[in-house]
Amino acid sequence: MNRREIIKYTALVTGASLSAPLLSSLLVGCKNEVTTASSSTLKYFNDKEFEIVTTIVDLILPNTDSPSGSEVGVHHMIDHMLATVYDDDEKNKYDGPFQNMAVHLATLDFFNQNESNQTNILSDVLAYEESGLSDVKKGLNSLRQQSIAYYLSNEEIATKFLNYLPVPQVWEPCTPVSELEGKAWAI
Amino acid sequence: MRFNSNGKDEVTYDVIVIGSGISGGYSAMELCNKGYKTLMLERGRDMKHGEYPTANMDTWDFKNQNIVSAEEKAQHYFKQNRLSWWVREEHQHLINKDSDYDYDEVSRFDWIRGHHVGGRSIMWGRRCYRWSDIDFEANAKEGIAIDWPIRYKDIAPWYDRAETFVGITGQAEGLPQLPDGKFLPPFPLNCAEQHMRESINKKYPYRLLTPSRTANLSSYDPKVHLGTRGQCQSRNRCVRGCPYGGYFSSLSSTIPVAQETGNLTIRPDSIVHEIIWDKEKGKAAGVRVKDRVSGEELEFYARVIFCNASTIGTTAILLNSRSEAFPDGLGNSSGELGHNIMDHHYGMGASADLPGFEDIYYKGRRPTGFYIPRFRNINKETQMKDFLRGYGYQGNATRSVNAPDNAIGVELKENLFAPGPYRVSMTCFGEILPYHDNKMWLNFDKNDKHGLPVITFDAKLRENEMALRKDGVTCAEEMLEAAGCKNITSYNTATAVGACIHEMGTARMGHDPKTSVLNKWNQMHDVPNVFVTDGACMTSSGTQNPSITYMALSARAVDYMDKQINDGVL
Ligand SMILES: Cc1cc2nc3c(=O)[nH]c(=O)nc-3n(C[C@H](O)[C@H](O)[C@H](O)COP(=O)(O)OP(=O)(O)OC[C@H]3O[C@@H](n4cnc5c(N)ncnc54)[C@H](O)[C@@H]3O)c2cc1C
Ligand code: SF4
Repeated sequence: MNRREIIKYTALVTGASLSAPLLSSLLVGCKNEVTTASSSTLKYFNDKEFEIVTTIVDLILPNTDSPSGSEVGVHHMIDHMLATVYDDDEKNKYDGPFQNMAVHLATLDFFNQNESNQTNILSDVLAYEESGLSDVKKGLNSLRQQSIAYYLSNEEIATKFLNYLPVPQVWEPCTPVSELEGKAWAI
Repeated sequence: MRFNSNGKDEVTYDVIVIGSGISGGYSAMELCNKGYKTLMLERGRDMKHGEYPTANMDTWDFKNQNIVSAEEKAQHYFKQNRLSWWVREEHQHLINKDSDYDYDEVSRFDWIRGHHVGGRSIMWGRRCYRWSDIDFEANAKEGIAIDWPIRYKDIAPWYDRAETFVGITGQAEGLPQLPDGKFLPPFPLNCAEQHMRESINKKYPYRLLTPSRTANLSSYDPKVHLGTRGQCQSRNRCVRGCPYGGYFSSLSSTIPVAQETGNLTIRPDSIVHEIIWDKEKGKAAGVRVKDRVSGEELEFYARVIFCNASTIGTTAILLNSRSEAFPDGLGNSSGELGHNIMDHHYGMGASADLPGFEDIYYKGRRPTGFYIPRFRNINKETQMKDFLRGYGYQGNATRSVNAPDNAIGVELKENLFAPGPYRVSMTCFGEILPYHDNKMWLNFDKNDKHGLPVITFDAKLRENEMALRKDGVTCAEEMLEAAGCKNITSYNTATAVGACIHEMGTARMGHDPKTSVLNKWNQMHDVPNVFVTDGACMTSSGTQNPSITYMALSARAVDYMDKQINDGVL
């Protein structure tokens, strides 16, 4: 269902021509251009840091038969959310591990490697068990979690690659996954 | 409208209802249906059914993924945002700003509010559970506080009436501690939850996992579910307001029905400051109001006043209504007004992965989950040494994001679009005993911007609650284990009083005017033409979500008032 269909459907089930406020509540999503994630000005990271973020986001979520993280603006969303939503305490908790991770990756010559080596290095970091390196691992883990969350909540990914059903109409407690093309629900 | 004039007759109604939330809407509907000219006063802005600007927004339509910016939180929601899940973009416009209307606290109190026509009926979680005699008799049996002046049989027909109108989904289970009601078909358990139900039942005879009882129209009958309502579309966006009228709120249900009678006048932006005491007649004459926008001071008069400004709102009005006859607040000869504040407490529970059921998913977004009713201290076999009363669980099993541990790159992407394993979560909601020392009062040395004394809270969890919490965590772990769950993580971080948004008890009902504010009809012992039918009336807190009880008591009180008027007593 797209928005126009939702409006038609809502009119049908509410049995009424839609009142102005009702209509505006349905239309609101159409008007809201999401500018935040695609904006090119950085709000939180400096250029150098953002390059690191972008590289790592695309190693976590590379382009396959679906877009890469940066192709749908995940890197900018991370920048935006840190700048806007994280409070000082949360920023501090994020920054230390991020910086540690960046320094550590530099010592491994990470930034001069090809993509497959880089992926291997990141996989190694995620598997670290040494307590001395726990901060490095934490920095990467945060970035991984952010990447996954903002990728799945991206409009293109949610509506084209997941099952997106804005007005389900029904609750079916047990449906075979095969009937849903093996895909998760977007929302 | 009749309020805009000079003569006293013109501002006189049969009944004034203070507040337009769940209980105020219910009182007003019952009053209007009986033919009483009713004035509903609401301190917040006007709002109409359908004005739900976020109802169809998806995560990507919000500015910040449905999270309010740190700056706004710090500026406007510095108290309410301590409850981490509450302040979100989807219903930010329905949350009272702390910067507009703040309060003080001796110990942390989470007062979670929305001031607008409809009150918190728009954002509520819609769980509706009946109380039983196990709840109504507990105080008397255990010698705690005072006895309830009513028993289950007194309220049962009113539950029937309210539930039928509201429309509650649920499954009859025949439990003594959680009486069955007038149910619409339940939103059935998914297969993971059904498995939980069966395995818990096998091992623990008194523990039962059942579909939540919820005020969503799983089946809509226009002849019964009056107002502007319709079939629930399983979108689970109720907290934003529902354009389909799929769940019960004052805006979709009670207010339109009351309006249809032609007997209802709603005046938004009307902050009730106090109830006017008529010395000569020895009863309440009306209310004094300040217009939130114009600052104008107004008076309205009525034969009877229903206080439905929510537990805290009502108590503040009564405490502020001081006269020679009632120097400590209207109807407060007992000294109990503002005391015995209760809520439920949570922040304890567990979650875990449930292996299996990979081939089975669900379809639709069920606006609810499961419930495990109280199973402690309900009979001899379930008697606990460490604590009185009990707790229930609310929870669900959903499929999580399919991101295998540490996976990145192509491996991650190959998995990410598929449904992940089932994860079961259950949160415990425990009873809080009525303690005289848990209280709120007004600071008459400090006024807010509307000239009202600032509310101060001093309430905390005590020994009984803490012992109960521990047991709640242990039992959650046990049940997850019994179902074969893996990666069980439990938590126990005590919430502040208020955080469960079930605040109650500050003008309690009782037999004796010396120890209670209201009689068994929710009528003030001291001032018979004032009724309180919001949560302030509660004598103990039970473990059940309380709003359906407020609705039943409101309907019952209106019926009693009507008889008193017809008998010439009121
Ligand atoms: C997120 C959330 C989830 C919840 N989940 C559940 C649940 O699952 N089940 C359940 O039973 N309950 C639930 N509740 C609690 C439920 O919302 C309340 O119990 C219920 O709304 C109380 O009804 P009320 O009429 O007393 O107060 P409200 O609904 O709060 O209405 C009170 C109204 O009075 C107005 N008012 C206050 N002071 C004044 C004044 N001085 N003058 C004029 N007007 C005034 C307020 O602005 C408000 O509109 C939940 C609440 C929230 C916020
Ligand atoms: S779940 Fe039902 S009631 Fe809730 S918003 Fe959706 S349609 Fe409305």
